[in-house]
Amino acid sequence: MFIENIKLSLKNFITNKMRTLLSLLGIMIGVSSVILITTLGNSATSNIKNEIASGGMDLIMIYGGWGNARSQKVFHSGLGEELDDMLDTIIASTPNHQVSALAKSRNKTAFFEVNCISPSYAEVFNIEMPAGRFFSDSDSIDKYPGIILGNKTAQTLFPAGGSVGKPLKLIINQCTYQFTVIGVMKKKDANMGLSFNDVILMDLNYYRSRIAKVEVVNSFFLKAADASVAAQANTDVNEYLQTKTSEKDGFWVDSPSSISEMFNKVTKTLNLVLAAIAGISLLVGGIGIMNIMLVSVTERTREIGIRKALGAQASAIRGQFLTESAVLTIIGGILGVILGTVLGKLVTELMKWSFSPVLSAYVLAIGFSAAIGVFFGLYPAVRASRLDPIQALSYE
Amino acid sequence: MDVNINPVIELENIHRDYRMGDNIVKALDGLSLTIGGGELTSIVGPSGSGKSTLMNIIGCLDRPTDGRVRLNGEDISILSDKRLSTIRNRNIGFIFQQFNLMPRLSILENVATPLLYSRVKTSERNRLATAALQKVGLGDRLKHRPTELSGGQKQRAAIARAIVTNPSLLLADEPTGALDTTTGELIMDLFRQLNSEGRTIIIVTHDPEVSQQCRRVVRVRDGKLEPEIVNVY
Ligand SMILES: Nc1ncnc2c1ncn2[C@@H]1O[C@H](COP(=O)(O)OP(=O)(O)OP(=O)(O)O)[C@@H](O)[C@H]1O
Ligand SMILES: [Mg+2]
Repeated sequence: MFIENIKLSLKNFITNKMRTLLSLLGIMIGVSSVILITTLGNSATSNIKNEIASGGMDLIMIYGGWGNARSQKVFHSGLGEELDDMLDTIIASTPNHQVSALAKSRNKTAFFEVNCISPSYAEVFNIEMPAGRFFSDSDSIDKYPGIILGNKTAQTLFPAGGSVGKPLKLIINQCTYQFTVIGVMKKKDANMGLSFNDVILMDLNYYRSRIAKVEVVNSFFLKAADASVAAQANTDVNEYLQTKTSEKDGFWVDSPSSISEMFNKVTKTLNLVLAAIAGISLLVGGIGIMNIMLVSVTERTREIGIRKALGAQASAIRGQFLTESAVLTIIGGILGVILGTVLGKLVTELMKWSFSPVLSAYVLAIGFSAAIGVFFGLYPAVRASRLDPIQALSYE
Repeated sequence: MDVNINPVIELENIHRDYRMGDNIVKALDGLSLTIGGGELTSIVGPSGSGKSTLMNIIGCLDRPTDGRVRLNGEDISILSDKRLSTIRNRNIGFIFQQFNLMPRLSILENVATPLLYSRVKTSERNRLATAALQKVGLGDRLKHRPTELSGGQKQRAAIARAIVTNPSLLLADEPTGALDTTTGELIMDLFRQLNSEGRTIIIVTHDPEVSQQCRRVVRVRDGKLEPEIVNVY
């Protein structure tokens, strides 16, 4: 009987294609927007997470030193090592003091950002050195005026290549200092807005002893023991710094993991919005279905009378119309799924994201469509089943 | 023609009132009638006299306002709607003036529909429906739609549908009313054949040609019975 009912529903669907499709618009739009938004949300999230993760999820950044004189003392050049010692979740650290300098090679002159850092910088950012070497703790920094170039910096200042071992003049605050290039970093994508290719690295100890005795360093980069504890490390650092300075906004701790956590929160909010959209359009769609089913029941009053005369029980009539409305909404759901998937594919293609549809959204969408059909089909079906057979038979 | 001594239908003082605003229309007004098994009976009377109302009550489609109805000895006035559906499905076959075939279904599907409601399996349904259609001479029209058949063919399909569950009682309300004389005669031949197989048949008609072919002619006027005619051949 169930199979017969499905066949009957499809038959009626085919007879009234246009009008039925129009009545399914609500469901189709609801379902397709659910599929589209979940697909885009998921694709965007995985895209952004990939981007963040490519730079290392174990990075933690501290920006500070803007507070009052007392809290500024917290951000001395050894803060990174202090945190490394105090917190189990941190395994490496480097300060980062930025100055700008005019760099002069033999035949090029250009302004560059100079990052004054410690040798652990290489460990924090997993720096690879295809040419030359990085700073090391055994360097006699007082005397050794070594300097490291980013990939692009090297290309700019030494277009002919072979920069390692070459001399380089830096003019900082109108004083000229003589350096030797000891290494060039491998090309590396920017991470969390930090660039590696167009910079010059200098040992902070050298900078402090020879160029300017800075007391306050305004940023530190830390490496968490593992990406999995990065969020914990972020919290640890925050709490530690809070014990040192009570000043609000005296510092700011950030990390890819906290950003991705924030992203997860955004995604959750997005899902709520999505649920609201879906709810409203499915409600509208459901009312559309109820309407078309009431029309269908009225049109087929005579058929209902005939079926009753032939011995159909009320439950059989009810079942027939319930099946019909569920079949309709499932068709609407399937069309909506197809539409949403095609749109999602188009948009992700356009944005050059990877296409990551959410399987559970598909299952839910189809399930919900069927449920809508049953729920909103119930009233018309009950009405059909309660028709008086004689009156139904004489219906014109 | 064997006529069973046991009554199949017993109507006792049946009333059926329709309330029309302040008026009450007495469609049936204290009517009593007994019909034995295997009888071929016709019901005649002027328009509005209550013939269809009477048929609907006998066919368990309607309930009397007052009075008692027994089918095969069972008092149906007290049965549930669900039980009445089952009786309509198993024991009664209806034939209407307007055929009442379902236009979207093929002839075979139309005829198989009553079997759907007695939960017969698909293959068996098709077999029984095909057999019924062959019996009425429509074995070569199984896949046709009702609109593709002539009036007489439609009525034969409707008769096939009425007999597909092998009911003991056939109720036909003006089965020849929409047909020309020749076609009507063919339909009557079919009814006589079905009657000779032992089915109880009641035919409402305006056509004397039809009522003459029935042994009993029950005459209704204003919801009451008039002396009936018994044809002796
Ligand atoms: N649903 C109804 N509501 C009100 N009155 C009705 C209803 N059905 C039938 N009647 C009335 O009951 C009376 C008997 O009607 P019925 O249909 O039984 O007549 P009939 O003998 O079959 O007539 P016909 O030969 O024209 O078919 C009529 O007066 C009719 O108007
Ligand atoms: Mg009538």
